[in-house]
Amino acid sequence: MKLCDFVVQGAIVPDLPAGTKETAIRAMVRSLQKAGSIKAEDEENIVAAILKREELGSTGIGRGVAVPHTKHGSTDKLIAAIALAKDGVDFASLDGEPVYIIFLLISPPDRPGDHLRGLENISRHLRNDHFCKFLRQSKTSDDIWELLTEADNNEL
Amino acid sequence: MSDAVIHRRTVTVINEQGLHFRPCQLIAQAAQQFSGTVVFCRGSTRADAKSLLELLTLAAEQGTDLELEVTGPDPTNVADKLSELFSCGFQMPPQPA
Repeated sequence: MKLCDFVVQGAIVPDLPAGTKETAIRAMVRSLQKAGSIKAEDEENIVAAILKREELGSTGIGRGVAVPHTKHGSTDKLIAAIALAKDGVDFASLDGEPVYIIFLLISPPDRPGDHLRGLENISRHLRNDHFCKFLRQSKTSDDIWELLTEADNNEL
Repeated sequence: MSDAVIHRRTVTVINEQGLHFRPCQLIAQAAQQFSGTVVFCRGSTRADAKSLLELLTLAAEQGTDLELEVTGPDPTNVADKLSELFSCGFQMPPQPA
């Protein structure tokens, strides 16, 4: 599985406005809806599910990164949105630092393996300092998509 | 020195959703309490158990066997405590993940 297999190209938000964890999650779920990956009528329910998951423990994993996620019956395949927050978002992260990179995942409940492979893929790349640095420096959706492609091809 | 003792054992992922985010968080939190080195291996992939990011790279589904390697003081006790997390399925309800 590669990043470009599940990151929705139309759901890349390179300039998330300053705000809260909830506004960030809402904006990212909206981007997936606008890209046609989820239905408008499912949007609020998905946001609620992701926020409920955050109540169990923040998905802010340190290094300025958060991976909010949920399993939801509205999708039949793993999908993800990416957002960059230049001003940082308070995600109640484990290290107490703001979040600048957000990967939001939605996966079907009956395919836990896909969910694990999505998390594996994202985690593997986030361990690469070059990937995190270049991602934070990206200005446009095209920049980010190109970076994901390079990461998939082990060109970083 | 006794500090150099290495304890190895195999643990099996029994919970239905596998080693997703929260189980990895629980493992990392538990491992961080120990001064020694704790590593999980799956094939050629080695993950520092104190690192959530590294644990997530194991992508361990239900039924996966992992090699647990503990180095440092009282490694058997450390391995016992981590094994308990696996054997109780991380005390996780099936949803949400």
